[in-house]
Amino acid sequence: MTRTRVTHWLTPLFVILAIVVCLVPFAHRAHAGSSDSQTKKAAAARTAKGAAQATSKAVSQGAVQSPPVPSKGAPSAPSASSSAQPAAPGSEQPGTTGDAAEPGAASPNAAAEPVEATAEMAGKTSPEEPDLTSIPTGGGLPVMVNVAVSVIEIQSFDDVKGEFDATTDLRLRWSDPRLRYRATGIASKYMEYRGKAAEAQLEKLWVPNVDIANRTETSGYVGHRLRVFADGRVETMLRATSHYKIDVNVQNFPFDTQSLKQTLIVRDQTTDEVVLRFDKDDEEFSRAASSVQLESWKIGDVDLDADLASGWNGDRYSRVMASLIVTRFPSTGLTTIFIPLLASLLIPLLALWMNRTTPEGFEVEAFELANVGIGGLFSVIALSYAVSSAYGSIAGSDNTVTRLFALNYATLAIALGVVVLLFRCNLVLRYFGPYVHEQVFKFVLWALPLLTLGTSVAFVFIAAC
Amino acid sequence: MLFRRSAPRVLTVVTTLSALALMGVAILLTSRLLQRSHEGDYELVRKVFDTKIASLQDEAVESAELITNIPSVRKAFLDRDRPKLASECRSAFTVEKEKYGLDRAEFHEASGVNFLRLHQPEKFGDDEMGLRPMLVEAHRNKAIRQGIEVGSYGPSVSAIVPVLDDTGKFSGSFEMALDFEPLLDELKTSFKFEGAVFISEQLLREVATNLSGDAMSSRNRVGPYIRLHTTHEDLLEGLVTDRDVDVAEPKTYERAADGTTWGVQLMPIYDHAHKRIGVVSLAHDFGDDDAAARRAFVWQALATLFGIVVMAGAIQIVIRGRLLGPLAALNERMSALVAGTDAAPADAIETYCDELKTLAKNYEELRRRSEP
Repeated sequence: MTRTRVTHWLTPLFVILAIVVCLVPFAHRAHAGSSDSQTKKAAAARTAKGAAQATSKAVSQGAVQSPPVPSKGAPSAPSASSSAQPAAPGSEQPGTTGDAAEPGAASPNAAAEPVEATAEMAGKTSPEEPDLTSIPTGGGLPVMVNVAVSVIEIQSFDDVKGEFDATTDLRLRWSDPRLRYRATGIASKYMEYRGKAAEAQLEKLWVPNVDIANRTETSGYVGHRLRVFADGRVETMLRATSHYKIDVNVQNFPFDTQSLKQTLIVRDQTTDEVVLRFDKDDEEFSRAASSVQLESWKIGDVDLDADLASGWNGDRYSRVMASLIVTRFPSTGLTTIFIPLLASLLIPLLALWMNRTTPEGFEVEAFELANVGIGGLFSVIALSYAVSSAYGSIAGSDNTVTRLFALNYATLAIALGVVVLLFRCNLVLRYFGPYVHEQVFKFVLWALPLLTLGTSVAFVFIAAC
Repeated sequence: MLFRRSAPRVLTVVTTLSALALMGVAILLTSRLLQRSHEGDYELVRKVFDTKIASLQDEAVESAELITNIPSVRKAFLDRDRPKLASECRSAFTVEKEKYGLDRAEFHEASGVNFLRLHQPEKFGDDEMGLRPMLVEAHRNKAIRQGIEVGSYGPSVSAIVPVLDDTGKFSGSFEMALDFEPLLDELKTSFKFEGAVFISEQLLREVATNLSGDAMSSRNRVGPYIRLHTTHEDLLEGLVTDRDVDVAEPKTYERAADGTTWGVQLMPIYDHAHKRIGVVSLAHDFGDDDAAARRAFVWQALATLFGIVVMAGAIQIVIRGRLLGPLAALNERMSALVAGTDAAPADAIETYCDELKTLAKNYEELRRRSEP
């Protein structure tokens, strides 16, 4: 009797157990990143209610493929098209445990609809699983973040205000061992997310807080791309059109070279935690697209430079400067600045050349020549105002233009001095006689233009060096 | 020949030549200064490289000794338990590779047969003793050996540490090899040096059998060497050519490329057995120095021009205005006096220099006497 009753109860149990055993592999395959037994148990325990909820969330996020990155505290599930299965956060190293990926699956970076099973686990949280938004310490600190910047387009560059608008691709790469997953085949080297799907995934991950210090605003399209590699490497790409402020150094104007710089700096995390760096691969990535053009400027390379920014109490923050080097075409400003400047240099010289010596003094009245000089002074002042208003950065620094202005004023002062002392007061004639007087005048006639010309040429050469 | 014309001309020419000579001396001094500064730069480049290599070697030895002294690693190796050894070391190898540019790490049996390659666990059991003099020496002497060596994966800074069992018997060795690429990257980041490593093609063909095929491409061939690592391929292509690369001693030269002047330092690389296996080139941007020298030249030229003009003016005013002008006027008047025509009076006596004052006075006296 007892035996019959036991059999009666055991038979359905065995049937249920057999069904469960048969279903487990299927549930297991559909489980994203569930490589350890704990996760398997968790997956088996999840209900259809959670699955439906998560699916709708994944679809609304516009996921282009199955998320390999586990949601906060829970593994995301791979899609049927995925060839890789991410391990649960904090799970074993690749190759030690976990299910083998499905060979021959679709390329991970190909667009695919998330299947129901894929998103089944998304959004679920298991208390025992680590927080993936915390800094990854698996590889030790500081986390090395590789930086690269590619310039896609330069919309404008205002060298007077020191501002430019550019569309750039910012690439950040680092390693987060918690995101490792087992993958097979070439096609499963990484999993890719784009747009909102990438943004959604990035919210679930630790991402270095890299700010662009000199960016004043971002406008237009902002595109995200995220790649998670099987070995835990993470690569983010951000395409954005932004407005930047830079320092413009016009010391060598019009032969100057400017750096359209983006100053990337790690916020909050000191160099003990995060360090920005770049390698050869980043340098090769960092370049201007061949289509980049900027009127009056020649586009050069993108230079990367790393240094540290000081913080409070001796803190140091890692910083990388990505600079697109642009060189001004020297003909810029020739007609608007240099020709008027050189022409105005002739005015004081004309005041001297128009006169002639006589035994009694000079042929032309000093008053008339002084008028020429005063006229020249006003014209230089007017030109100076015009240049200041149009090229503020040039007017406010030491450069070829300001030096030529200084030369103009100096030449005017010398010419007016000659007019007053030599022509009007006849000082030399009075004290040294007519012969010295004549020779001084002859000397001034050739020496002043020669020195003025030599100095102005030297200023231009110095800028060109 | 008119003294009035020739004297100022001669003086002006002499003054000009003197000023130019002074300018030449100033330029020479500037260029010497620049040259000395560049020599200092080259020396710094050599010292930095040597220090970095030494530091890499120390790093490799330290890491290797640390790994071999981990009890579980040591036990797994002595037990010849390959899977356990691989699992014990994998994490450390991954971290070292990602963060510190560790290229290879491998265990060798006492016979020199490879027991485990952490960078390629599936490949083991081959004997590298025939190709690796450093390995031979480390095993023969049962001692640490470190240096640069070309292995089957290319050149690296390696350290081989012997592993002894509990009885002190030599059981094998552990080797760590650091790649050159992170070193060059670091030198570029820290010092802005552009670098490249050139290794003998013949040696690579003989030993570096696991080197990727594209490394041996014709584009990378420079003289008898293959350019393996470079921080800036296009630039280094122009800076180090077939004619430059084959050096037995450190060599320096300057070359213009990429719109600036580069100071190139070539240094031969010697392996553990002091055999020359290649060359490393480190290029330093001398553009700023050269621009400063050019600016100095322009300023010197301008200063010289001012000097010449002022001196020529002084000669003109003093010789012609103060001496020859009054003399010519007195001559003219004296001629008129001798000719009996109407001679003009001399200029105000105080406008003459002392030497001419007497002459002017005498002329005035003669003129007064000749007046009716």
